[in-house]
Amino acid sequence: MSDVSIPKITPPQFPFAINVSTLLNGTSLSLFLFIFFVFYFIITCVLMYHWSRYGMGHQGVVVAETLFIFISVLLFIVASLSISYF
Amino acid sequence: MNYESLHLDPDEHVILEVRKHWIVFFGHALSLFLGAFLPFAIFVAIKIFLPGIFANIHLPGNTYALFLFFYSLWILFLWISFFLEWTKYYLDVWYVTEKRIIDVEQKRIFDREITNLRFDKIQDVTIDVHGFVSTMLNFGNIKVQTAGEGTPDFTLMTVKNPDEVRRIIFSQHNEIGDAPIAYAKKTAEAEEEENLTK
Repeated sequence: MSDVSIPKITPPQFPFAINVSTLLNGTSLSLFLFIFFVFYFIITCVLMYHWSRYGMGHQGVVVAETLFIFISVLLFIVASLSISYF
Repeated sequence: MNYESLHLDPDEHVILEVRKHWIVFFGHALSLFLGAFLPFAIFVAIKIFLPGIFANIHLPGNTYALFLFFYSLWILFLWISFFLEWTKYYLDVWYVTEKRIIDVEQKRIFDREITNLRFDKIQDVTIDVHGFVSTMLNFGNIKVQTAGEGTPDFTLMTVKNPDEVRRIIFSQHNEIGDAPIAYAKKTAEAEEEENLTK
């Protein structure tokens, strides 16, 4: 009986070196954060409009509003601080 | 509560708000929670299946800070999407007043439909609770059938405590239905009393 074995899978090789140092710097990250903030601001305005217009002043909406803003601000602070540590 | 946007009559009050059960929202919330671990899962998968890729990537600066930057933005993205979904869930509601049912259907964030159904148009209210999970968590579908032609039936899926909702709708419906009879009875009694005094 011949010796049969599963052929070894050779991992793909990447002969190129990805040099991202020109792309990743403090300025580009800050720009990225700013674009993200604009996106966030638009969505927040939409949500706030819905909550104030149709939320009927419910306690659930007030809690959601507070939680949304608080955690968002916290995450933006973390993102900004990580740029300064970068 | 401020129900100004519902444009209620001066003598009209909201007596019940009917929302979908939280289980509807739970699936989405769970998927977002698991999404928070996705970057770690991708990292581990690359490390196992494509180990050579990291050797060819030269990241400048503090790698941990860079990861934290993108990770915090990813969490922020999930956070926003969680609240978009929650808003759709929370604003999709039935308001039951003394006179009618107001169905506010929040299909998408910019797609909102409001329909009114007066109690005198209601013919029947049926509930449908089937399956183990629905019975245990006490949720089901409610269908309000209307009498008038061209008036669509009202259906709300996966409602919390459907029995109680049906009971309140029926009691309001009966009050509206009994109102003319009660008025006629009262008038007859008053007339009788007047005749007796004469």
